[in-house]
Amino acid sequence: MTIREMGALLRSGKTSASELVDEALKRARQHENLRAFITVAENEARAEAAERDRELRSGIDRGPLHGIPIALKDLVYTKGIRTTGGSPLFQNFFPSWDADVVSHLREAGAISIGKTNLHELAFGITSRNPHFGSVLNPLAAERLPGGSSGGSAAAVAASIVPMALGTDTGGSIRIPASYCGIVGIKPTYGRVSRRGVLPLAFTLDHVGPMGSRVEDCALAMNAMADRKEDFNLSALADLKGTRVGLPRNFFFDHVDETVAAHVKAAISVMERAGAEIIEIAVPDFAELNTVSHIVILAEFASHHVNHNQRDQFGPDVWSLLEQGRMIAGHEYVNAQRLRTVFREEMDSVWQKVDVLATPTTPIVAPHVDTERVSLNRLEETVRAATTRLVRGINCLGEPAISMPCGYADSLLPVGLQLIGPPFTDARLLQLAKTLEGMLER
Amino acid sequence: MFERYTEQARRVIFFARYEASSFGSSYIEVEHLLLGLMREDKALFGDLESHLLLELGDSIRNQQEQREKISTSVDLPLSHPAKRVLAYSAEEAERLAHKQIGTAHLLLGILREESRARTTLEQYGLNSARVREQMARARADPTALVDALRQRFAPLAMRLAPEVEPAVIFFPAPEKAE
Repeated sequence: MTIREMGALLRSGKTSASELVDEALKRARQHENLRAFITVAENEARAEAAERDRELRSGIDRGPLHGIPIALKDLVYTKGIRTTGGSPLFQNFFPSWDADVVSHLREAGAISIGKTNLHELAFGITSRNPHFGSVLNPLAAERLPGGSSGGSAAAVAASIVPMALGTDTGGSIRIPASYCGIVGIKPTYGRVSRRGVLPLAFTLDHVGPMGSRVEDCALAMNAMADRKEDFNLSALADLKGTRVGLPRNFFFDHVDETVAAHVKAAISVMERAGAEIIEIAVPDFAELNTVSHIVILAEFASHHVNHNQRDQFGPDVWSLLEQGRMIAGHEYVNAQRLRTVFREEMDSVWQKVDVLATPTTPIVAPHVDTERVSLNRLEETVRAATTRLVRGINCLGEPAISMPCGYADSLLPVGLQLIGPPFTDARLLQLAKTLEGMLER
Repeated sequence: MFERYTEQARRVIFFARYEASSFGSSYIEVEHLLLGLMREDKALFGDLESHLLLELGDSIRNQQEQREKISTSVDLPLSHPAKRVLAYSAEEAERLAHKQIGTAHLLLGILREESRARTTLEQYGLNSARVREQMARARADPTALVDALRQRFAPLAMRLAPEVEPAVIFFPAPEKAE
């Protein structure tokens, strides 16, 4: 059920917040095998639900999220509830305050049923967490759910909750959204407060919603964003006047044929709805990915400067920490200077188009044992392939959505990525909502 | 001369010599070393799909002039470029603080010497950064991984105009975890 459907049942008196929360907790238990949660906050969720029910009975309605069960990535501070970051480093960390975004969601009436599993310290794409278990993809257990927000994606894809919070430093919302067939938006950098979110890389971290539908994300954004704005605009009747950029370079160079076909089919749908499709050269995202790599390694190392016990880390994350400690100061500064250059190059793209349409991931969810993939003469690790089309966007800060746009022969979803100019989040969500409706017809 | 070579690397030299004599070449050339490498250690080219590896081998062979075969009992010297490849290989091993010279060092050596072998490898997307990255992954060696990253990053940084300022983004400090 979507947030809107739950809200309608709630306000018609056919259900209560307590029943919605009970159902979500029941489904979380039924799907324990997915290892989507690190902590299920059963008592706290039930108490909050009772309070939201009391409020509704006395005429207090906090809005569309009132009484809606949600889940929070275990990277965001929750007052009195353990926040592990998926790491033994924080296994006994009980914050004394809520992250800003948690406060906002709580104020809007949303009820967290628990903290979702993730790739250790949010630094990875498999969500195979050596300390808290591997998250399974609800659509196919033998396939990766993606990461790092794998638990949040699984909780939504398994219909445990209609919305879950994710974070995205190099694709960590969009990748699991793509692999699990749900919607996820990385808002413009700074649009949602990161205060109270365990950092991975300060200047690349974004907080955003993951939902079963575009509207679930839009409604969540209405609550989450610091500066109030309506992100839940009505779907458009057509796309006349919308300039959709189809990247001429990079984004379709090494992509699975089925994935490319589905993404291009979705672009054709936009064209038939009146959008102008413009083939356009974009900055060299391979270079931008290199810049992003320098920044993420250095900033990660800066945060973990006091964490020197190798046995407190999984081998992949420890290796990344060691790499980060080797990045020289001049390299980090030059990476930040290169971001300025790419920012200017990207601004010229936005003079010509309103949105870019690309695949989110060049492949559908890979088998858990797959280490390398080969796409049009490029063989690379699953990690490199999975992050290739999303990582660079974090360096720029643009809003980007991943939404399902079809299913491959393997019945696994294909993710479409829509990228917009900075601070056009509402318009991007509106376009996605419009397209979502058209794809379902 | 080959005391520091691994068993595999020694076999590469043996196969290179065999390739040279098959083509009737008076010297062991860089291309013969590459063909030897491809015979001995296909995993080294793991980044390439198998049919592309075959294509690469054919491409190198087709570039060779076919003369009358030379008996394998005749001692063939290394050409000057091939000697330089071996010297570069030794340097690569030293740079990585490896005591032995292995097949990956030989490939890196080939990629440093101007030759048709190097040009062909590059046409197939094999360059030293990619090989270093592959070596690092195989050993999960953070130093080598950063080294490979630097090789990609340095040319970008060198392009920066002096007036370019860093992107500066303000962020609030989170509460310290207890």
